[in-house]
Amino acid sequence: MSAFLEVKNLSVAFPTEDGIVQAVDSLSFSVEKGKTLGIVGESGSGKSVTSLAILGLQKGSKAQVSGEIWVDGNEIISSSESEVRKLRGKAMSMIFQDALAALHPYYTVGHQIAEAYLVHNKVSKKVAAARAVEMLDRVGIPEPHKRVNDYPHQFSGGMRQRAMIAMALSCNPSLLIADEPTTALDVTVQAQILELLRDLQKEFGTAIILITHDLGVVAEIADDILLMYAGKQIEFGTVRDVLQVPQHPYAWGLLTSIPRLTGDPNLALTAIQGAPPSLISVPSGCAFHPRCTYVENVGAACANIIPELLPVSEGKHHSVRCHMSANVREGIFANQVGPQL
Amino acid sequence: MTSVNNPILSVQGLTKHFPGGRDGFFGKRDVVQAVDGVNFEVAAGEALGLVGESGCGKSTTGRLITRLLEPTAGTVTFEGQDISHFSNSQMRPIRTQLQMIFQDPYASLNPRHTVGTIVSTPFKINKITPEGGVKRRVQEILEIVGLNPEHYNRYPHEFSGGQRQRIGIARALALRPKLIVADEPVSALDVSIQAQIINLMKDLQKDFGLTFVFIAHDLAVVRHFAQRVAVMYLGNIVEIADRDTLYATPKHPYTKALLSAVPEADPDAIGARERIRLTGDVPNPINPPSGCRFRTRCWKAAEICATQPPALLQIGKTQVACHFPE
Repeated sequence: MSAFLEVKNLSVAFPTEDGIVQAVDSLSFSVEKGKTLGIVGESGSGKSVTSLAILGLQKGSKAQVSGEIWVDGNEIISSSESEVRKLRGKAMSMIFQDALAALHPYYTVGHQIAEAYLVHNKVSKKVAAARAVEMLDRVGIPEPHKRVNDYPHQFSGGMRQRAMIAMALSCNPSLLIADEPTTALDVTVQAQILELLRDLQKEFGTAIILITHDLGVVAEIADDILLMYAGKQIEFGTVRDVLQVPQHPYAWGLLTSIPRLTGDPNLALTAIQGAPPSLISVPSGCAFHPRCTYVENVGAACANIIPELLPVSEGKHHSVRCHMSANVREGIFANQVGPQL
Repeated sequence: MTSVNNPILSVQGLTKHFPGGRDGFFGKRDVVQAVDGVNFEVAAGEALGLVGESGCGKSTTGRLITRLLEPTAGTVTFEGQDISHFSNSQMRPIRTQLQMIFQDPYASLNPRHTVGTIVSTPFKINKITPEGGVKRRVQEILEIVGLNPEHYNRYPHEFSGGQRQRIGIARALALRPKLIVADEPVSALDVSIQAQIINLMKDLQKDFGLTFVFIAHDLAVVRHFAQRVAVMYLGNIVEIADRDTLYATPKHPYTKALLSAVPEADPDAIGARERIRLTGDVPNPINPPSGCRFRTRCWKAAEICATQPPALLQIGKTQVACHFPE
């Protein structure tokens, strides 16, 4: 067995009154222990749906899930709900964006952390309660033995996020999915939480999937980046490759459109024209072609044929889904995009 | 404090205290000191950025300027008129000059009104009939903000987030105001759309000579929009300077920490930058720390910081409120 998590050809579709929403379309990737994969995309690109599928949280809903998801040798999609439940919380767990919504307002923080521990371990309530205090201490909450009896509303935003991380890590999971874990937080607190995640990963060797729209956050913490657009993986590579020598025109657009703290602030930002497509009517061919500035370099193929995900050069880790030839992309990047980065 | 030339808006000692919870049934009411003694001026045609973390009072300041809230103390002077305690009917003519763009493009548009109704309402309220009729004028404005004028009869739900924000901007622009307060206008939008809206607002500022107060938590966004930047912390302004000075040489420890905490999408920049990690959270504005409000998280804090609130003083090109500026 190689990677701890292996996703092969994952597709998730939702039948709706208006038609089928193809939220995720034949996605494949893997994450090793101790590594962090950043899944980046805009709203509606399918990044959260992917994470829910990995945790098997679409079972019992109308979602049509196909493909294979291997977590530590267990296939999730074909497993029953009770089998997945044994893995959830123990082998893999998740932290959500909005900690106030994810924590139960009627129970103390300590109770909620202990509950997760009790489900997966045959221990007394007392041991579980002690574990809750230990975890709160581990994520840096001051006076954990007192705060363990507080309710979520008595915690600040950053502390709630820490409590949720404590809950997710209480059973030492090998895979942690963090869905926009810092989006609701202020920058100074965001920096604290990212550092905490990094430290905990070093200590426990957890594999982390970080879902975010913020390329800055990914640069801070991830090893690999998977860039999604309209449910498809359009670029994959190491953080350095994707952020420094991006290959897909969408990646170029994203990187040149974000305001930065360096460079000339008087220059207009290079915005991507148009808006992300509706997943009910994804454009034919390359889903990005209606917004792409470089369509004329290829011609009809962009609008008609879905490009394959191919390595940038022979045997490279870095792959991209674009019809332009490697030479053409290199030329455009060197002359037009690179100077703006 | 130094004054800017020809200020269109001047804020002196602006304070807003909200009543909080009670301490027991007969207890005293807590007071949330959302904004406490804020001074600044905005010159005609400039864009002032107001940055800070949640709870620092930046949105409350924006609402006080537009008089959606009444200040507890202090004055708001708009074009030489003290509007701090104007009644709604007194405010009505002022509001044609003073408009607001809101953060959430989903909540700030009435779902039961068409785009045409939304953008033409300012004309109806103020009983203004522009040349060529309201409809023609509204369609012109829709075109200016990059919307299709034929969408006049559509409802907000038919538009994407970025387009809705354009509708909000069109509504604010309808009466050709002089000052627009934009409260987090891009933070609810996707990254690729943010740049479109920033560019649009920049173009509008140039074309119509608008003055902006731009409220945001994102320092990189503010850097691309504002010419002058004020940093707020817990109801106070801790530093004001022109953009280049503030970003190149932050004087207040908080500004420095805030800048160093911004994650950058460049793997090489990460190791190269000096990192300041603030510990803890922003204190509760019901019971802010004595003296300098930042002292509980500041690595430079000394005795004087706990006893004396630092005044906003001019140091070089910057105004900074700190006993030990950089």
